[in-house]
Amino acid sequence: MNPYLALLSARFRQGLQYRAAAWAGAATQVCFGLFIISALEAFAAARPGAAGPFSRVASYVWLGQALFRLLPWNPDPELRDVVRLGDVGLQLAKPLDLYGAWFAKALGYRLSAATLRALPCLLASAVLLPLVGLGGIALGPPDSVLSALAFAVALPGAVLLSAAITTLYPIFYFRSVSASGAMTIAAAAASLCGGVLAPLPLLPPWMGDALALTPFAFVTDAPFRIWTGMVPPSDILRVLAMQAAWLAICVVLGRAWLGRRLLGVEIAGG
Amino acid sequence: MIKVRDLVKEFTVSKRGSGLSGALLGLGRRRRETVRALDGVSFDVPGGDLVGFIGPNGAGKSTTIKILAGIMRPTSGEVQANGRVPWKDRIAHVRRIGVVFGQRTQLWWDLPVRESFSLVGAMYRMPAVEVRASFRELDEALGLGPLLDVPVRQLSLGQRMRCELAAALLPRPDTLFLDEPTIGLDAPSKLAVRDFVARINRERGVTTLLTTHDMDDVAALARRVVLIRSGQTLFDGPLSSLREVAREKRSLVVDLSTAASAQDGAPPLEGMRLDSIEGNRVRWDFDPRAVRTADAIAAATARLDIVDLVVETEPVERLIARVYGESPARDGSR
Repeated sequence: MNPYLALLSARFRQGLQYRAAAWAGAATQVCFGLFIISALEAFAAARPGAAGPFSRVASYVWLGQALFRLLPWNPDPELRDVVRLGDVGLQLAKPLDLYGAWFAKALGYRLSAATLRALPCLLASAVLLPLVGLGGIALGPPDSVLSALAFAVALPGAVLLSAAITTLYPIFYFRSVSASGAMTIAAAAASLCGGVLAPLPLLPPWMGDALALTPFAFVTDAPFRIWTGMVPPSDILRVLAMQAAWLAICVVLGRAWLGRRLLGVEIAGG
Repeated sequence: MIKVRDLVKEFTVSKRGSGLSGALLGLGRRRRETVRALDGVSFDVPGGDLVGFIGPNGAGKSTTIKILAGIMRPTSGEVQANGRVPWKDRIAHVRRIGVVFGQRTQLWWDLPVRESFSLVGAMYRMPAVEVRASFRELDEALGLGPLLDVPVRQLSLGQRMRCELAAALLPRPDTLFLDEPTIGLDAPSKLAVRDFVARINRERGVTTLLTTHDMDDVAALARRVVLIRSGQTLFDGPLSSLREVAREKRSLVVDLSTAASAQDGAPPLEGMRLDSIEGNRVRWDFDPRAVRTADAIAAATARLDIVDLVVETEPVERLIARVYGESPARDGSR
């Protein structure tokens, strides 16, 4: 097996063992989804038609809750310790490209975290809600065949981009002993820019349009807009191209940065 | 074959004063100081050799290992390991080496041991057949079978160290770097690790560089020791010549029939020195090159009524401590 795929798969399997956390997380996400949707419903009643039919907004919110853990709001806790506690030395003693290894692990981490929460959450929002007569606020199907196809491209793109952003974080740890301040800001920025706090299409256009250009928005906002048809068909290619551009930028930046840091790595103590 | 020449490594450490004022001042400008961890270390390790690398804490042992393992680059100096410069050609270099840091783990904490081994196989791009063959050999020496399905976090330290060694040797490296592999281990585990390291060095011909604070490790394993202190090579040679260099002491301890006959404990021969009298037990020190042990025994038995007699060689620990330049703690029994 390719070493990087093996790392990805090991990290994925390691992540899957947190079953209790996953169930608790999924329940939280369902409650949050219902909460956000009822709040937005109240707003929508006051300003009808602000972002198209409300069922679209509901679908956007549910996708956001189901794939909440795809949002690169934190570093892979394992990578954080690797740098802080000096295990990076052991990793350098393996015949692997360090960036590649980190990227593969971040990918495995995001995938396991997202998968564990997504499945129960999707089940609840797409199947359970219509069954109890709440079909109006349930997760609906993709807007069109084109939306479905574009989503099938955008979602893997989002996963890769999320891993690329995640891989940038531990690099901060080379600079300071505790990067928790920087990470708090990153977490807040990710939740806001990714449209998880409030759907970007519902924000005032000057703000929503600006936030939609950030890399976080191409992880959790853009794929949901594509699914719900909020992105017009003529715009789909542009959105996918921008996602790819952010992915390229993050990878190139991460590689260059890590390469430079490694020249000066100092691992203290026995 | 590893060749190390004039290795120098400098670290920058920021210092700040203690207490609140120190912490506040530290927020502004920090005093930066350059510390020389290695100050011109040179040695050679011929292929297949087993070398013990010793020295007090902070002497630069780990720093040297890290440079040799390609993890760190030196400030200056040269290293050739199997024809490669470790830090310039890291990936090609580390493919041929195995590394075990006693205080860290390279196993996957939450996954069963088996998974860590298959990951090592994948990381070194080993064909499955080769992984199995190499594992069988290691399993035979280390008894890993019962551990395979246990998550690493549930292993005892001794079990984990066996797994660490196996993981490092699975890809059949030419060279093995062991940084304090016996740290914290109980006696049987230490012996198991020692036996295994000696065996792998003998059977696979793996060049081994071992750092340790356990002098019994060195005495049991290393044909040669390199002693460094304050970043400099202080001694390089067989352990027996370290004994000579350090002016090894020997002690003659006798138990006399009565406490009264110990008298003033006058040494039986010239060149011997009274160390202590405790009841009917008398201890004399002597330099084995100045006084023949047999002569000392003969003189003592001729003069005194001896019930029991022991000749003690200075323990390696004490010898090394003297070479380190620290006075060993007296524990009263000697």
